[in-house]
Amino acid sequence: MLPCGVHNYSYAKDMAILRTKTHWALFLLLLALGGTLPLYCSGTWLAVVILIGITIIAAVGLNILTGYCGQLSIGHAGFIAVGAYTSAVLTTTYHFPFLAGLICAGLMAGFIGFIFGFPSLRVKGFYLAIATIAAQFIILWVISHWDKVTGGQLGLTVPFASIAGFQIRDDFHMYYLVMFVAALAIFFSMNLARTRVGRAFVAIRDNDLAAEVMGVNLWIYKLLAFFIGCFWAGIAGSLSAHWMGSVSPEGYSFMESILYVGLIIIGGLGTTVGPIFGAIFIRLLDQLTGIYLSPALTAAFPNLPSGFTTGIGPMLFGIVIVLFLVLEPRGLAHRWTLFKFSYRLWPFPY
Amino acid sequence: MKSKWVIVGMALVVLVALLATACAKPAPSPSPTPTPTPAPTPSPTPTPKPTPTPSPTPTPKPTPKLEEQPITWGAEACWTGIAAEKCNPMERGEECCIEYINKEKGGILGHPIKVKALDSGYDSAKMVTLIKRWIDEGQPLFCTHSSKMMEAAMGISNRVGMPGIVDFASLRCIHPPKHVYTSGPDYGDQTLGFLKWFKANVWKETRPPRVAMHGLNNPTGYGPKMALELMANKIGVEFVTFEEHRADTVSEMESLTRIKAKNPDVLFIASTPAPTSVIIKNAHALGMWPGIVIAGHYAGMTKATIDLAGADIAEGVYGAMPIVAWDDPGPGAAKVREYCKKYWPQYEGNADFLAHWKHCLVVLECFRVALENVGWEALYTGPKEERWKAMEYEGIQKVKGYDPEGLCGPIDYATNPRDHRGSKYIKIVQAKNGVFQAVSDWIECPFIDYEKLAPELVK
Repeated sequence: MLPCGVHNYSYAKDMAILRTKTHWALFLLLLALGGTLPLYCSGTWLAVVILIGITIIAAVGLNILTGYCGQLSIGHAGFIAVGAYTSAVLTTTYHFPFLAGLICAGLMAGFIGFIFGFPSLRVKGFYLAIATIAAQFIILWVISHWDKVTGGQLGLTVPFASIAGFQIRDDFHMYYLVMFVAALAIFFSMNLARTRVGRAFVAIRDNDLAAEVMGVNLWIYKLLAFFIGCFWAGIAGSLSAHWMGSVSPEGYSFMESILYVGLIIIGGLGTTVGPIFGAIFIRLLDQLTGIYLSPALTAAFPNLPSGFTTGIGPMLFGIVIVLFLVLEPRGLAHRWTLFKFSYRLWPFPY
Repeated sequence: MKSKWVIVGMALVVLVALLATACAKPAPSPSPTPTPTPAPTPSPTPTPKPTPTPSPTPTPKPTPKLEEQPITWGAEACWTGIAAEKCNPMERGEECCIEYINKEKGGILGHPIKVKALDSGYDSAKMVTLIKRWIDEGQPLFCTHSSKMMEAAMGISNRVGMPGIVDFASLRCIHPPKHVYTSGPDYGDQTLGFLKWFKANVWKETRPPRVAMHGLNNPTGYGPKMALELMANKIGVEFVTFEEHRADTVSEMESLTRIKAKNPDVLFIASTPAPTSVIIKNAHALGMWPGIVIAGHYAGMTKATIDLAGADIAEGVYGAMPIVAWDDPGPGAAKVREYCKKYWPQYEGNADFLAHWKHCLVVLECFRVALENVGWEALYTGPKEERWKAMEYEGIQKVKGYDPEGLCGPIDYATNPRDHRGSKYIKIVQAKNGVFQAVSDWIECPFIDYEKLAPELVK
């Protein structure tokens, strides 16, 4: 819906992502804010923003797979691990350049996702969820036991990312790299949803039988969704490995996979902005409760049982998911849509 | 239409202001530090004004600013997450140790200690943001409870040269040696230390003892496995088999049957209390125990293990402890018991409480040495890189022969710069009447040179 009095007179204008002056103004402001953020943001918060960026990239992948195509995956951390280890091994053992490692990480994770996507051709819903959980455990088992390549339980040290001879040694530069890739992922996801492929995904999600009757090839599109979803997971894994400087199997636990599912539910399944809102919300909630709220409560109420105040964070996470499921199952993205509608209709109430 | 733009503009201005406030850089020096002192003079000079005092010797006042120059470091605690059960008593131990040093010892060289641990949730991603925070604050040092959290942080801290000390270490934390240290021997060291003692004091036959290992599926289990694989021949034991288990295992009958078929003399369990107790009970059910020797390293052989397995079944199992037992008659352990009883009675008898108290003493000794050598300003003001170098090379690496009130063996980071273990010693304990009692004095654990023996492991 466009603001009152605004009309599109060409197909190109109708298809444009930025259609109004407000869009452009907001976009330019976002660019300005995003581009200058490292200049006035402390290192701590810059690290949080980078973490949010990496989370967004991985969540975009899961959103394509689960949100758009309806293929429930509870093994996303496993695919992130594939990307992280692929990049780590290629850049350390085989001395690949970082960019080659990054792309290979995406491709390898996509390929592994493609393999584990095969059960989706026969099963769906809960059954597919179990199959993807199996993927998580199989991937981590292989990583943990393939000592010669992955370092086994001890993991690997990962070098700095470097592009064309320039080493990204600090968060200032890492921020721009992560944000560029995140923007690319969002742009890709935004456009994918409007293509034939994206519409096929949505058709499969809404009713796969009807989609097949309409001529959508379930084999191809389901596997393609797995490939694309896991590709972005791999890219996120590679970026996080080079940012953190090390990889070990313990960093990609099953709980991490659950977190990603919760994240896209809170953000809003099947929307472009859902993963962005979800990642920002969850990571900030985590930081604010752990760093500010819990210590403040501990100081204010020293006689509370041990671990009570520090347990606020996980409790809040659980409560928030329940509240979203009950009160706003369409997530923060829906709230954002409602806000946009009310702005566009303003000054009229409806 | 115009007014709409005004509203949008105002909203954006507010948004920018909010973001700028939220992202504002914190003060360059850590927490409650005062404005940096001019620094050229080593002793604090109160005022430059020449006051016409009648006294003939205008001596400078003795360190009134020490109160305002607290000792801080980046402290991690996994209050929440899957390791919270172990982490909470550890963190309370550290808090009590700080209370003890502040109240009874007057801080470190007069500087009060003001440390508030931040929750990592035992989550690697969150740990990364914590280490970034401490780097940003310019903390001279950071500490983690667990090897997992240290492994998440050390990729970043080693790159910038910030030193860190971990309590429960895996071999990857200190091999190859960079800027991470540990206050005691790691699990692999403890395993070898026990087997060395066992061979010298218990083993009577001429052939080498056959050792089987049951390890947790993470560095707690795999560290000892790798140490034993590399050093079995050197210490004269035969490593017959390794079986893996999960932290939530409820039965290991099948894996123990395979181990039984290998006819081992020693079953070494490299795990945490719950799975260790399951393995001991299963070994008992299979008739392996008593009969063979069962032992474990510090992570698995605690009071909880005896409670979970049952005192009668656990009777006689050995543990390799890098710290003294809770009931140790020494003054250090007595102080731990006193504070624990006063503040956290629910943790009485908990070895983790004592272990992290000891860890805190080691950290504070590093600070004491650094303060003596370079002073407070060098650790908390000036370029961060210089602070970290001062802490590491004038603090940690100068600690030699420090006795943490008898809670563990002597601490020495100075003799071998490649050996980043503070204490190299363990005591062997044995379960007797429901508690672990020491059956040996301090035994030195051999230094395992992974860089030479297995460079591919520590690349």
